[in-house]
Amino acid sequence: MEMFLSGNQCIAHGAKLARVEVISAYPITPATPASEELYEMVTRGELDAEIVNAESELGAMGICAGAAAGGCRTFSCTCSQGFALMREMLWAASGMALPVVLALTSREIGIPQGLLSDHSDALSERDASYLQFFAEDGQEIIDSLIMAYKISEDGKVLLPSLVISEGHRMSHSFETVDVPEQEQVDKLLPKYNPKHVLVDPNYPITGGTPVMSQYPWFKMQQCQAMQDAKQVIKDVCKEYAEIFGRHYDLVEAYKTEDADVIMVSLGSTVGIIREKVDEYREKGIKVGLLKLRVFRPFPEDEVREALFNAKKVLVIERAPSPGSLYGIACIEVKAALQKSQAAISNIIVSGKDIDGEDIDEIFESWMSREDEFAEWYKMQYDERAATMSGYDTYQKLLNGEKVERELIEEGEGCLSKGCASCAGCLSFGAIRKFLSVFGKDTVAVLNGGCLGTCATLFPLTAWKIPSFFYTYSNAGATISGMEVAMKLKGIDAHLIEVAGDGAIFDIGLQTFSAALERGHRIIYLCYDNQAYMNTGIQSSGSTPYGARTKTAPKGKPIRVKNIAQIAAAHGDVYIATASPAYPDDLLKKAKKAKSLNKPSFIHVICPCPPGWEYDPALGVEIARLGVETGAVVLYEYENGEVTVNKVPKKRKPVEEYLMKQGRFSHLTKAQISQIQEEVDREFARLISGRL
Amino acid sequence: MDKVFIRGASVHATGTIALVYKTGTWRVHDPVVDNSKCIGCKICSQYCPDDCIVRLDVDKSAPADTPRIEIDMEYCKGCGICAHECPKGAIQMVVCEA
Ligand SMILES: Cc1ncc(C[n+]2csc(CCOP(=O)(O)OP(=O)(O)O)c2C)c(N)n1
Ligand code: SF4
Ligand code: SF4
Ligand code: SF4
Repeated sequence: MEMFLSGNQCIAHGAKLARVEVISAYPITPATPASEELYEMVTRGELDAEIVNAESELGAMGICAGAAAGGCRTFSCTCSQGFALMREMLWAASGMALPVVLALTSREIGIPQGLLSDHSDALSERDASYLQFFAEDGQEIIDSLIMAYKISEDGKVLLPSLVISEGHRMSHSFETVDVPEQEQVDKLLPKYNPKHVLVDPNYPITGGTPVMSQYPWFKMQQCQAMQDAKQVIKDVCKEYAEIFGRHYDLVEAYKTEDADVIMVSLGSTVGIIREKVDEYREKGIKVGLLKLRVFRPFPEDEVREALFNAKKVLVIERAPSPGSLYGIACIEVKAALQKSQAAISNIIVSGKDIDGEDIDEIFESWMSREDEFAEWYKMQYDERAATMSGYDTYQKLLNGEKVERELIEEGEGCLSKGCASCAGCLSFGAIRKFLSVFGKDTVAVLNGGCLGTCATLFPLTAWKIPSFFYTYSNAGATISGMEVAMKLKGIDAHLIEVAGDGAIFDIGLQTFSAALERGHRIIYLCYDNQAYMNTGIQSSGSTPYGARTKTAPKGKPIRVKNIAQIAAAHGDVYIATASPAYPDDLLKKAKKAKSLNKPSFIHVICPCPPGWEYDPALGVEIARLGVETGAVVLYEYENGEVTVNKVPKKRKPVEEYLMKQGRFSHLTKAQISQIQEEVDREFARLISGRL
Repeated sequence: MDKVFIRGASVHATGTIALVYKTGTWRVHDPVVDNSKCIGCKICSQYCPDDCIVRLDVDKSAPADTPRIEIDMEYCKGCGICAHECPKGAIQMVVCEA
């Protein structure tokens, strides 16, 4: 059936047609819409699968590996640092011979975090023992996903697969694709029914045992399975072509037979080059194209056969390999062509949106040269950005000159105006207010989330104090290291981690916990908008029961995590909640945290207009209603005792708070009563002094 | 190439975002203050999430319609929180002229 789909939708359709049984993914741009589409398919009843919300990509991959060992066909999608965070489980899953399939919408890996197309995430995991299929367009994404399951689950292979497309460039562009019929896919792809790992109380096995001297055996078997996969891929491609009429292979050699010069590429760039090859051929140039469709197992023989007699080869790719002169794909091509006379050059187009004119430019320059080169394409230098980033100041610093910098006064605020947060964003409101009690002797550590992305984008920054944007999972650890270093260097400054609920409750909980346990003198300011807002509103551990998010289309079915109890379990920590509707209370708690010689955890519940679905003008009113109904309780916790700071004379019904927010509009009377009961219980406990 | 970027994607400058993102251009509604109603209580400025309102130093005895607050229209995003929170109804949100 013909459909007009985005790359991410193609990913969802491919997974659906493969009848995946367990899906676990973690939001990350630009892969998130693929899993959101799968949520919708499940909600609409089109797909019978369990979707498990993970706390991180490492968790998502673990869930997939567990479910695959449990006998289910499993799926995840991610990219960039999300994929990097999966690493430990990636190697575990391939080692355990679990045919998990992942879709990757490739994107640069931070730091610096970018949002453009780059294959470093996938290709830097080339040794993780995953089959790697590089799709050229949406059609190939769907077809490759279906075939990937068939190939991965083959008894001769039993290795996981990656189906790789390009972030934004492919994930967010629409095209007409032929979506295969389910019945036909079912013929190709039977149910997954593993014999090497299985859960059966009547047939006990031990999976994944540690080994000693046998290690190389297991590794060698893995390597052999990769080699054997080549024939399996060929067979499956043949079968696929017979059913669906579309032909795929390990590589596609396009007009290479008589070619003097051949371009080699992967992914979406291939389609552009193919058109150009036709155009150049018309001009009489003997040019060809080699598409590396499968990168693992690397099709050495096919590459050698296609390229061996060419005079010149140019690998155009999106994955540099620092420390090597060449990109990752080029290194492999060179290895395959050891004895060839061809001059093999390399152009890196990482993070670039390539079109036909770019190929013209690359081609012309390449044709005019006889040497072998490895270069980055079109490195346009942005003088203005460099100047704005303070390059001149930096030079003075390097030259040992004295540099005077403008420093803030206490009360002035640590963030400038011009932040790209939404109109009426109370997370920013609360952060600004909180930081206003701090002066120049303050260091902030941030991570992924609305604060990070709305307050900084090279060379722009809103920060007027030292601030460091580390990765999303790691705020607690990085700030701990910073505290240790500052002590060693005799720097006396306040250290504040400003993090969203996702960063504290979920992906960063481990490092947050360890930092609290060690007792560093750090203030943790959690601006809690009760979901992953920066990636477009997915549930977090702090999303309240019943609230609708993209990953809970019918409302979150489980209650929130009690983060204060978790923090308190670490011993001597000052814990306080706050609300943007009560700025004086917020300021009082900020001052208190500043004065203490121990860790503080300040948890501010911040309405978010798009995430909570309300008119931005009503934000403070909603925050106030939160406190007046008891849905949000403002308290402090110290020495094992809770003190409630604002006790409403008569608590309003929680319904008044809920009904102002679109995210709760679907709740039934029974659900509202249930929430009311929970609020009453929580309030009674806190008022009695217990956390 | 004589210059390069500072390693580590560092910015050795502060507040550069305000030079480029004039968030006032996002506005679809302008906050308009009725000076005769405003008493300078500062509630609006406490709640403005973008720090766009300052209270002016005005003597109590000044004429009733003396401006007591100033809104930074270069950055005000027009969220309407100030108007909604003002106890005197002194701020109206008015559709921006095209
Ligand atoms: C390892 C990793 N996984 C996923 C992401 C993508 N990501 C960036 S921000 C974000 C959500 C942030 O949520 P939260 O911490 O609640 O802050 P908010 O966006 O609500 O401000 C996610 C999932 C990432 N940057 N790194
Ligand atoms: S999505 Fe929500 S938290 Fe993020 S900037 Fe917008 S209002 Fe603020
Ligand atoms: S809240 Fe109203 S009365 Fe108070 S300063 Fe602002 S505009 Fe004036
Ligand atoms: S409309 Fe919003 S941004 Fe503008 S001054 Fe009022 S509160 Fe501030």
